[in-house]
Amino acid sequence: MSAEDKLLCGWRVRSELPLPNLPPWTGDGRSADLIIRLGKVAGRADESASVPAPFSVEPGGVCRFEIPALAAYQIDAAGNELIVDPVLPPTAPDVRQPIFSTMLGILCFRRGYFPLHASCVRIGDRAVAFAGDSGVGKSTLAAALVRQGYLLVADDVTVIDPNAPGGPQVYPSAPLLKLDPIVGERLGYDEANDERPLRALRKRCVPIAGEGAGAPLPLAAIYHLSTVFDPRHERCDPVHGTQRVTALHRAMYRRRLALRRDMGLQQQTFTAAGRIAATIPEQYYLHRRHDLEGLPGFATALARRHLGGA
Amino acid sequence: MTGFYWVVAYPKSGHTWLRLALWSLWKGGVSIDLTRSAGLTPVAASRQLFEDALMVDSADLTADEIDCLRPRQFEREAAEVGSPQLRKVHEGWLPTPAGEPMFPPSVTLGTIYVARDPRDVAVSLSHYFGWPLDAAIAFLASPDAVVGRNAPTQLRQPVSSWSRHVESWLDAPGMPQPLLVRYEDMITDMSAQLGRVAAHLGWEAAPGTVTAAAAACGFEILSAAERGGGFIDRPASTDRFFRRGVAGGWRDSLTAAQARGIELDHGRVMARLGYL
Repeated sequence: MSAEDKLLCGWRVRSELPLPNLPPWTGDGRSADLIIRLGKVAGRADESASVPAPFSVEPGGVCRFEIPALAAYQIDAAGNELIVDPVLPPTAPDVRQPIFSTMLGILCFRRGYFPLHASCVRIGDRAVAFAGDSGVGKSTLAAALVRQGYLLVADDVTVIDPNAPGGPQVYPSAPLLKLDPIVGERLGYDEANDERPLRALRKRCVPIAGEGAGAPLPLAAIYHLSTVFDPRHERCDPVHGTQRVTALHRAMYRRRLALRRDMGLQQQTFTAAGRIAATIPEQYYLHRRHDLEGLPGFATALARRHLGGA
Repeated sequence: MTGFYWVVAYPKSGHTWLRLALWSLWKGGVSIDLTRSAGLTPVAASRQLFEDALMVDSADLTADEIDCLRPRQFEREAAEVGSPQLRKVHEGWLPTPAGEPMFPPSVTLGTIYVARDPRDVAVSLSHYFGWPLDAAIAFLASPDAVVGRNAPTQLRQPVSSWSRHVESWLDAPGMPQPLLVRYEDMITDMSAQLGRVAAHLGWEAAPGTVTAAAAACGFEILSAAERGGGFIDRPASTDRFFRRGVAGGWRDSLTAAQARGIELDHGRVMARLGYL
């Protein structure tokens, strides 16, 4: 299979695995930053369970990830090469999906980037991120803003370069939204364009046409989301003082991975969190109901607030 | 010593009430703020905990693949956390699709099983989910009953029928002997039940502290607090979480035929727990 060069998070990606959602590389003539090969991923040495845990760090810092009915993946210690060993056909959307989630998180760590567990949109000339635990409504809020014409920067994993010249920058990642089917329908996302995975997955995977190729952006704000059920508990509180660093570090994607001794990432990620927290103008704890009816109005008000301040 | 104490109950059986009492006890008998989350007993089926433990995005997995990995989640969490953990559990002690127990004996320190008369559970389920009573009764009898499908932050939780749920936990092979706590006994004397739970957990709690914690979560106090400031964990599907707090309320709500139906479905296990 021939390789094709694509753009992901500012990296030139040469991939033998089809990645139709990514825009083509149109940048300079540099050699590939990341090579994705189709090949054999060796079995792990230390696993005796009948259903193995999907992730392991092998000797030498190689990260291995496997979903038995789907594929095995392996990333080298430098984050320069990803080997994919698919069980399903390589063209199946299921096979590439983890590249934009778990694999992207590992690649960020290995390449010195900070992965924030957040969805992110462009409002004005800056990025606004919605961070929080799984299921809290990050993609939902981003999807509501995208329906209002704002550009999707990232879904679920927001890739930040803490060392970019001029201050931390967010790199646009794959132009895909993973949406709860009820949310997708209520926001009017047409199912005709959805990815068609071969396995029964809970969320829809919705390509967002024409995005993902933008330039890196400075972060205007991070909203740390949590769900409440009672309107009396809805509020938006600014994050103050040292909590700005701890909130950011807590919102790191695959945080436990960064804390593992065998990954050697503790210092790197704490330093990055400190640098990013010092430069983001605003962080908030946003406690909101899962209120789909009020969502478009809420998104409009939020965007207006950031446009007004731009 | 690492591992888990599972705080288990069929949905709408007094789980949340006991959880709040445990939180108060842990804090030395303080009053309870219903507008703040009490983090002492996280939900075992938290999507975030699953993803953190296994370094996987649950959206990349099928529901069966997730179920198969639940034992690995708990093994990883137990290995990484150096102290005993409490987890709130609705699932039955059931096998995963791969055939192993979802809640492994190897990481189990103990089980607290909260039981409630299924006739009252049916009424409470009906209010909570907005279901007709007959739908709640059918749910209690269904071997395939599941909760959590519509809770975005949680994984699906197979609970099975009320009878199977009770027996799966009380008779789980290879597991430590569970502590059975009846909702009805919590109503009669929360302080005594909380003392039993504390002893089972190995908590050294002075009698005065247990009494204070039990008093802090008196049903009238919680109900009034909810009316005043709301309850952070009240789901959108119901107006009031702390609704009645009585045992035997089913007598005002179920027809004789409905009550008889539940007794036919679950009579043997109801008798075992003293409900018949």
